[in-house]
Amino acid sequence: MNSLKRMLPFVQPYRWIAFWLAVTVVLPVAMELLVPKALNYIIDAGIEAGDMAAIWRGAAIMLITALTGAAATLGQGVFRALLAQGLAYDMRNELFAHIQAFSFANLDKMQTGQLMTRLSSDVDLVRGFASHGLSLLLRALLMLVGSVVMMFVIDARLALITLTVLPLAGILIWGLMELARPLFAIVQEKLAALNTTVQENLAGVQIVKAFVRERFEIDRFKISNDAYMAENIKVGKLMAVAMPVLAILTNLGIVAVVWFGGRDVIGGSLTLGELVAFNNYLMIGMAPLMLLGNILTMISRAEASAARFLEVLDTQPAVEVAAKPHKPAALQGEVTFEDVTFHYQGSGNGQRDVIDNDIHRGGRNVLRGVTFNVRSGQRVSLLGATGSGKSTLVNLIPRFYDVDSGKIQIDGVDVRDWDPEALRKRIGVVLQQTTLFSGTIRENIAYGRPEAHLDEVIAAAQAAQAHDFIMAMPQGYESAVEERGANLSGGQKQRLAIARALLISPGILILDDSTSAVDMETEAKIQTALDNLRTDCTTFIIAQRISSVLTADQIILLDHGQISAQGTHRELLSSSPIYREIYQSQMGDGDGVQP
Amino acid sequence: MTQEKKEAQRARLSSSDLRLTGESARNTRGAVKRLLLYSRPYTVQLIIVAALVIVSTFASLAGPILLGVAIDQFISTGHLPGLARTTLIMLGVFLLGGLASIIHGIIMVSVGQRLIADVRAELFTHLQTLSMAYHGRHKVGDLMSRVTNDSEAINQVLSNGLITFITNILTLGGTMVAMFLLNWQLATGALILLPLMVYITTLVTRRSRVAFREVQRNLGTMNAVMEENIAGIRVVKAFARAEDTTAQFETANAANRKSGVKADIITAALGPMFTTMSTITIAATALLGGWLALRGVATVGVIATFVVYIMNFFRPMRSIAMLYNYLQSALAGAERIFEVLDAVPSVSDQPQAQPLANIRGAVTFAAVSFGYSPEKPVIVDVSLSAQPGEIIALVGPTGAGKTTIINLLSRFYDVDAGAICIDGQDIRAVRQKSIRKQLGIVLQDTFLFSGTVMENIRYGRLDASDEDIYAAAQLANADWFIRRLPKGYQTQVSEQGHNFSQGQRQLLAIARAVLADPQILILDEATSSVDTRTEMLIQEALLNLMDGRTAFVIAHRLSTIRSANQVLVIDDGRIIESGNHENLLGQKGFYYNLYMSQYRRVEEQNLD
Repeated sequence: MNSLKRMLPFVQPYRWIAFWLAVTVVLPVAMELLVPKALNYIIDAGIEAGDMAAIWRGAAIMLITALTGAAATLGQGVFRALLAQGLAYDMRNELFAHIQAFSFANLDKMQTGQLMTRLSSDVDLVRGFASHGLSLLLRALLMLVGSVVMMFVIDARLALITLTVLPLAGILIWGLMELARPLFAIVQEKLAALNTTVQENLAGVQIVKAFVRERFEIDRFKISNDAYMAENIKVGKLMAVAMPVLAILTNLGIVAVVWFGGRDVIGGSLTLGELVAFNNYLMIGMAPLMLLGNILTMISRAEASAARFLEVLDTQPAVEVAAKPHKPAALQGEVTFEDVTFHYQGSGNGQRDVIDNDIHRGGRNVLRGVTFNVRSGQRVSLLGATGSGKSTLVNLIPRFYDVDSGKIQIDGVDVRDWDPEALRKRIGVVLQQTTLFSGTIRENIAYGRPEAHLDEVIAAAQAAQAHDFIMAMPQGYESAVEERGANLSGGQKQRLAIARALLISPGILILDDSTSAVDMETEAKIQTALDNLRTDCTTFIIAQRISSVLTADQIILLDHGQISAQGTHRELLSSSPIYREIYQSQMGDGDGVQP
Repeated sequence: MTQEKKEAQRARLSSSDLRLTGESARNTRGAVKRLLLYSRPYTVQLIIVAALVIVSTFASLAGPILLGVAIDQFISTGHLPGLARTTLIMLGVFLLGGLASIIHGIIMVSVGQRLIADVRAELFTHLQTLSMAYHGRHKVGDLMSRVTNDSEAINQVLSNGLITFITNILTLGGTMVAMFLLNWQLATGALILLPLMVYITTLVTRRSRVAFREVQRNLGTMNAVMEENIAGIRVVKAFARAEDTTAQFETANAANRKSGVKADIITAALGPMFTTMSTITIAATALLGGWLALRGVATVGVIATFVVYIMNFFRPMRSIAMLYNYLQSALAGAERIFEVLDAVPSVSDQPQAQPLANIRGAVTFAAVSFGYSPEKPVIVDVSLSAQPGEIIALVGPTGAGKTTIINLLSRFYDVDAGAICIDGQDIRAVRQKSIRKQLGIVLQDTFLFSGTVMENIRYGRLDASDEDIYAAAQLANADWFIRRLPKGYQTQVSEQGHNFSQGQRQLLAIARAVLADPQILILDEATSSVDTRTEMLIQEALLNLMDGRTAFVIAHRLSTIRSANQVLVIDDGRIIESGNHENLLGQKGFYYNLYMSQYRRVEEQNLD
């Protein structure tokens, strides 16, 4: 219950709606509790006494209660909708904004799908509980208490006898809750496992086929499928037994009423009308208990969802904004690394589920004692083996992660003192994995500067060698980009990403392996275009092809997170054996090259 | 994936969407019929359930009658032994009914769960047999939701809804019959409001359906905004667009709330209506019953019975209205599931197909043409011949059709014209799986499964020993970085390998393919994100390994290409040049220009 309790602050803005909701839940219950009493009156004062006027009066009372109850319940529907939808709206906004504030370090530990589920179905489950579960629960309790009170009013002795079934029902419900709660959790777990199996299988279907692992996958699925089924059957059986038993208990009460009540009527201590009314109270009091199974399910699911929701909300953004952030009008592009050490954060912070508990990329230092200085407008090439820390290094510049020790300065100011927005608005980044958004080509290129003029968009696309293929598309710059760029090739996507980064006229441009899928001729053209930009933009390039390294002002050679050599192409060719080896591995000894 | 494939997907997607919308409007009956087929193995259990449902329904109908009898015949007359007898009968009837409910509930739970597990398993198995052409044009999320959400909807209905639905209908019918038998005047009075009620219910239901469609639409928009900005959140942050994105989300969220409130209010109207009608009917019954009782036509016992009946009457009405919606969505889910089950694999084995025996690795393409959609050929008249042990490099601009050639060789798709032979045998005449078993494929998009590094490499050959795996990793130059991980080979790979760099993922994929010990190795830009030194090392290792085996290599880096026996230059779906590196340079054609573009800068730099 703790997590649901923690959701209370979200109800705060809707406290008046919640108040009126409570009123409109109570009112219909009170009205319904009047009906058996009116029936009692009709039978005793009307039929038994032979007074038609009393029958009319009783019927009129019933009609009034019916209409009042209906009006209140209609109101209840409105308040319920306002409360639950408002709650969901606020929860989503808060969580979404919170996720947007996460740093890359946070995101590394979370899975996209998991975050999506938090925002959609988990919020929906909490909303469902607020909308139905809560009022249903309140109603059930009020109805039960009200009926019991009315039964005591009519005949305390009979009530005492009949209500011996209540503790039994109470024990049954309590036991059910205890048994069901862990089971529901297991069912959810098994379902998640099943979903993961299916999701991975479908996403990697080509690998499955390539390695002829269909049988293996089917067997693996069967295990998850059977486990899920088995747990579902367990819970289902529990419910299948519990509900009829509850019904039997109610019916035992009715039998008791007929026997003991019947004897009282014969003995003259109870009227016939009271007997009928008593029986009706028993029925309307116990009926909502039948829904208890549903309510319990709803509560335990909502609780689990609230916990998952809060888990994300409780995760603090790993990058904090300085108290007085540095927000200059322009960025010159001078970059200094001073003895920078960094490692990806290790195992989870006691958080379950979303968090991938495994240590990322080693958990040991990915960068160690990295020191260098880049002047404004210089071109820096990063070289090094796979996993040597190249991407990590450039990810520290826009402060996607915070350093462990040492510091990074841009224009002489520590990146941690910069306003992150101001910093990133002036750094053009092309990430290793290209992500495009739905919308037109033009909108995608203008993502960093939506107000950019079409001419500027075209200029950026031309520099990124994207203009020609864009013009070849049916609607040119207004062509739609399908879900994550499904209608573009890898190389085309990369070129759009480069154009997007160029358009913000960045003070620093970072290209992280961003031409890997582009053919050589195009790559050469992109580089020529970048050469022309050089004067006003500091550029960091990670590329595997040596040709992109040659014109750099500085080449930084990384080895296991440390700088092993640094200098220009010519300097390194003579001073660094590793560099020479890399160079020759690609260029060979120039066999048969005649320029 | 290549450009042409994407375009083909797009074309097919739009045409299949059209077909879909045309189909999904109909055929509720068909879906029901097919679901019934799945219940055939459980016929005996279902017959028992049916019998027990009837028993429990009768028990619940008998209760109120016995109450009336007790009041009229024994309590009113002071007949104690009769009252005792009636009470005992009541007890027996209730216990019998309860017991029947328990048993049919238990049986139905396991039948329902087993049935839906059967459906899920069949669906999943079928998805494994469908070709890449199918998977290419269906989004993972869409297929996912069929296996999970749609089957879950059917599950809900089967395990809870269906029995309740049937019980409710039986109860309604039985109650009406019993009422008329007891007192037709009173029954007419009690049921006079029924038509009004049915009318209002349909009205509200229709309204709410329209409202929910609106909700669905807004929800879709909101989810799209959400999905895109969370999946692409790194770019959002890189371009400092978090504020705009949040505002965009809030707008979608607000629209969702607005339509949600509307739909909720409409639906909420149904509840009080039933309660009100129920109370009004009780009032009418009491009034009419009282009037009739004064004239000696009805008795207090009958009135008491009627009141209980009416209370029992409106509850099932309400839940039928609710369940009907569930049932509808479950059937829609069933239809979506059947749609997948009805899809026929476009690449399928001929009935007489034999498994391909151990191959030597000779590959020929004879005038092969292919297009992902008929109107747009991607590969035109491609012929090639590779001897066992040769390395064939495919070179050309993005979108030229290189990956398509690989896809055809792996028989992910069947050729439109011409033929592909391995060791002289047409690959369409043998079983697909037996071909792929002898191929080692490293795809352009590396895909890792969740699980340990060890498990991911072992995917290539399930019976491989740990030593085999270390050896494969060493060959792929992955061993050194794996051993540096805190848990070494037991390190968990997170969602699609995000905890490894792109280059590391490629190395793991190569290790996986090497472990499979293939006779033909296919590398589709398998080392594009690996640094050149590592690439060299891998290449040397592969060359040793490949001794006597055939390799197809797609790469942009010329250093990778130089060692190939044959270089095929592909442009616009045709082979425009072929030969070895030296020959091609001598031709001073397309390849020469491609090659020179990489070197020109070197020369410029050196001449500075």
